[in-house]
Amino acid sequence: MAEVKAVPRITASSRWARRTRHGDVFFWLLTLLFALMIIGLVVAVGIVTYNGSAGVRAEYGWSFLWGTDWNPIETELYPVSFGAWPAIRGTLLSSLIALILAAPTGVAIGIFLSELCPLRLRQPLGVMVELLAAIPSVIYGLWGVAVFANWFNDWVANPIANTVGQYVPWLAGPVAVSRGLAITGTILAIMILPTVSAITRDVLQAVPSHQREAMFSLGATRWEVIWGAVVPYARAGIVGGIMLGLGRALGETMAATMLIGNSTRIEQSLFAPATTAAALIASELPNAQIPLHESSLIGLALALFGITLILNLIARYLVWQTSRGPAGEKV
Amino acid sequence: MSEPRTRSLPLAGGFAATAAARARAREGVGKTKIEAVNFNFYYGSFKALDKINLAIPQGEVTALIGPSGCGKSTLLRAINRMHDKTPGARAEGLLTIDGESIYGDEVDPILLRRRVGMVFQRPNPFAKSVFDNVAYGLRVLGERNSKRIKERVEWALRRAALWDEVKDRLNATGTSLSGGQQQRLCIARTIAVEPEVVLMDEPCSALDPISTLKIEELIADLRGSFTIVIVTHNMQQAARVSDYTAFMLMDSQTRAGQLVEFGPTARLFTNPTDPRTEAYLSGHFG
Repeated sequence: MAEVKAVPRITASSRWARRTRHGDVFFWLLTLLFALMIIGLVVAVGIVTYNGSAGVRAEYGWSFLWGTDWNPIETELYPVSFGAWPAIRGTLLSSLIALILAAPTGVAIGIFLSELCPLRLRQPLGVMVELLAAIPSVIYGLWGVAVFANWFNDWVANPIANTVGQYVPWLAGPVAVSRGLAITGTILAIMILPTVSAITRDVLQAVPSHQREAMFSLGATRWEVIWGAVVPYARAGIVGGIMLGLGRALGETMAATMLIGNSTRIEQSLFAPATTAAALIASELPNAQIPLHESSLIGLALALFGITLILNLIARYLVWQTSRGPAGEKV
Repeated sequence: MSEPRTRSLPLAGGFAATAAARARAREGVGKTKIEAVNFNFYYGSFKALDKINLAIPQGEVTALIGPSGCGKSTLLRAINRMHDKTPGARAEGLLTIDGESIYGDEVDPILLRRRVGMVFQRPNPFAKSVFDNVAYGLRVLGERNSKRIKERVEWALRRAALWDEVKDRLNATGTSLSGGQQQRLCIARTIAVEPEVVLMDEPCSALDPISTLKIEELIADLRGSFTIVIVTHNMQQAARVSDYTAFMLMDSQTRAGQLVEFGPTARLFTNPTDPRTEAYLSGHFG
C-alpha cells in the first residue's frame, strides 16, 4: 500500500475567517471608505448651499433664478432686490463663447498632436500644452487685463462693433474698456484650450492602430483616416474632454472677476460689462452686509452647482448616446 | 503630387461590371501580378528582408509561410506600403505590380492601396454599423449614389458569405458580431472596393476552427477574381488554400528574412527541393 498523504484542506472554519484571513476585506473596506467620501462630499456641498440659501428662497422662491435685478444696496432709484439671472446669464454666455472658440481649436490641436505632428515636435509641443493647463488662472486674468484687452479692443471688439454691430444688437458698441462678456469668454477659451486638446490627444492616441491601418488599406487619405475612423472611434472621449473644459469655464472665478466688469445690469451687447455667478460670489460675499445678501449669494452658488450638474448629466447622456455604437468596443 | 487623384471605380454597372472585372481577372490568371527582384527592406539599420526574388501570379492564392520573425508579414505589408508611416522603414531593390515599381518616386500610395487591399490579423471593423463598415470604403472612393452603394454592400457581404447572417441587422455595430463574422465583415469591406490584390495577414489566427474553415472556403471562392497573398503560421492552412507557397526563413547570423523556396504548393509540400523546407514542413523546427 502506498503511503496516504494528508489532503490539504480548501475550507475555512467560518464565513468571517474566509473573508478576513487573506486581508482582502480590509483593502476592500479602505477603498470603499474613500469612494463613499466622494458621495459624502457631493451631498455635503448640496446640503450646505441648500440650507444657506433658505433665506432667499423664503423671500423670492424659485423666481430668484430668473429675477433680473440685483441691488444689494438700497438707493433712491432701486430698492434692495436679488435676482440671479444677470449672473446666470453671464456664466452661460461667457462659457458658451469659450466653448465655441475652444472646442474646434482644441480638437484640432489634439488631432495634430496625436496624428500629424512630426515625432520630434510631439514631445515638446505636448509638454507646452500641459504647461498651459498648469498656469494659475490669476495669471491669465492679469495677462488678459494688461496685454490682451487692448489688443482685443483694437482688433476685435471695436471693428466688429463698428461694422456688424451696427445691425446686430448683441455685437453693438459701445465697447467697454478691457471688460465684458466677449473678452472674458475669449480668455476662458484660452484657459480651457489645453484641457480640450490634451484630452483629445490622449483619447486619439488610445485608438488602436488597426483602425488606422484598416482605413489606409482601403486607399483612404490621411484626412479620411482621421475623420472617418480615428475621431469617430474616440468621439465619446472627445466629448468628455470638451465637457471637462466647459466645467472649468463655468466655475472659473479669478479670470472672470478680473475681466467681466462685474456689472449686474443686463445689457444686450457682448462687449458690455456683465458678471458671472462665480465672479459675483467672489467679489460680494466678503462685503455682504445683510443676511439676505449672503443668502442670495449662496443661492447663486446652488444655482451654479445645479448648472454644472445638469451639464454633466447632458454630457454623460451624449457620451452614452454616441458610445452605444462603437467606442466602448463590445466584442 | 500634382496629378489629380482618380476617384473612379468600376462601380457604374453594379453586378455586370463586377462580372466583367472577374472575367478580366480570369483571363490573366497565372500572369505575374507582383514581382520582387532583389528586394530588401530595412527598419532603420536593421535589415528585415534580404534579396527577395519572387513572382506572385495573378488570380491565384499565394501563401507566405515560415517561422516567426522570418519577414513574411514585412514582405506582405511592403506590397501595399503599409510601412510608410513606420519611422525608419525603407525599401531597396525592386517590387512591382503589373510591371510598375511600387516604391517608385511617382507612386501615390493612396492609389496603390485602392488596387491592393488588406485583411488584418485581428478583425478590425470600424466603429460603425455593419452596413457602413462596408459602405465606407465606397464612400471614400467617391461613390455617392445610395442605390449603388446598397447594391455593392449586399454584393460584398454575399461574396464574403456573411449576408445571410447579417441581413436583418445591418444597423448593428460591426463590433457586435462574433470574431469570425467580424473578420468576414473586414473581408467584405476590402473586396467591396474591388481591389485587384487582397493581402491577408494571418487572417485566421484570432479565430476558432469553424470560423477559420469558413474563411478558408471564402478564400477558395474569391480565388480567380482576386490575386490573394496570405501570410499564415499554419502550414496545413497554406496547403489547403494556396496554389503557390513561398517558404521564408530568418538568417541565423544577420536575422534578415530570406526566401528559401517558392513553387506550386502541391510540389513544395510533397517534394521540396531545399532541405530546410523539408525540415520545416516535417516539423523539425519553427
